[in-house]
Amino acid sequence: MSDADVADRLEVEDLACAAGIRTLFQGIGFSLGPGQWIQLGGPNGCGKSTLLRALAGLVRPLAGSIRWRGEPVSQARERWHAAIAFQGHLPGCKDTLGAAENLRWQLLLDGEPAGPARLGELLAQVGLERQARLAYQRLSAGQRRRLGLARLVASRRPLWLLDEPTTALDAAGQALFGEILDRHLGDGGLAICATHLELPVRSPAIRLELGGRPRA
Amino acid sequence: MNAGAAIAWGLRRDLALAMRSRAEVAIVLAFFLLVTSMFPLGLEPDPALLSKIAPGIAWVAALLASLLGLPRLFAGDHADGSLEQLALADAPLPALVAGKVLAHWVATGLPLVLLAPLAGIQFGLEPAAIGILVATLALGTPVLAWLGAIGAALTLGTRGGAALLALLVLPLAVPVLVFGAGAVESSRAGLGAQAHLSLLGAGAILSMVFGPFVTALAVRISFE
Repeated sequence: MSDADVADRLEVEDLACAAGIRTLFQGIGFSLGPGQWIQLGGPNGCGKSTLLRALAGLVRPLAGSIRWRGEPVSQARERWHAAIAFQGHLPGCKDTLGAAENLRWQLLLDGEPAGPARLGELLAQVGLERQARLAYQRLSAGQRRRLGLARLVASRRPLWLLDEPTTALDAAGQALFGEILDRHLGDGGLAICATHLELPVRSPAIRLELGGRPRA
Repeated sequence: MNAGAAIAWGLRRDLALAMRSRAEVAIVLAFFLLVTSMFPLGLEPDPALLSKIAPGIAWVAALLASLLGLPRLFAGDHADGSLEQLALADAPLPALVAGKVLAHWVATGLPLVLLAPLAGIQFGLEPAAIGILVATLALGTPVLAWLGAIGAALTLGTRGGAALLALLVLPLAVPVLVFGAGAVESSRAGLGAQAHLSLLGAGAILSMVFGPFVTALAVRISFE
């Protein structure tokens, strides 16, 4: 069976996660196919970030199964990692390196081309062409987010797992994020975004609300 | 990304970072030189005594100096989220970690090896003994780097991590210290240093074979 025969599909069944001894959520299940995205909502502390981290494989879930292309992800970790682009609330950038240099190391890690011309093009797309050499610690919060968007623009990973992707972005930045996500979905990509804000995305979202009070 | 490319990525990125924070690297080396220079001042300036205790002092100083640089090996990457990206990369985590530890050794271990003759001269060691001292450090500092890497990964996210790290790593480093300092002693006693050097070399190989996997496991645990 070649790669092309299997559709990109994420199937989650009966997922449960805990923080310490408290169960954050349980019985989460969904199926996500090409061009679809989930807007993950719920109050603070309900486990949105934990759900994303559990999907990515950083946190071990208490129960449930996660399948990518019909294959349990815990049994094919390398193929799973090659399929996802995860952006948590930590940026994964080094303070002392410049914007372009941070992007370059991230793209090399993702296995994407990262020549100077490509970096310049990506930074221009997110409006950071003048900040290319500025150290990351001197960028504003919104500019840091935009640098994260540049990674997504370059990414050819089918599934994006994004935690609060538009916080600190100005109106233009949020619109830019919407365009980038729409393009990704249009290309048959999948995405799960944890957010409190309304995202300016044209593709209709599947809404998933995590429960309010954590149950014991 | 295959294992070779992953090692190269970790090595080149962390060396680039070390170049940006040269001061932190320089502190490790200054610490080593300072500690070794303190002993002749504190003890009586008897050349026979100093040259007798020189290997032990150089080794203890190297051990403490290598401990000093350890917290920055993973803690920074853990705090800014880079470590998550490494763990989720489409590349073997042990290889990425190996690149990082190799860069750490090049930045802090290798300079100690190169500075050791300076410490030896201060204590009036004869050239042959200095040669042995350098050889033991060259074989022993990679072991220290790997023991430290495992400890640094295990103490990620704990409070008082640096102190805990010292408590965790120092007892494990005792054999390295014994064989490292012992090599110089036994070669001066006419017994030859070959046995000690072989054991250190075996330790270096063992730590390089198992270190990456154990460290990668400890890194994964740190996210839970």
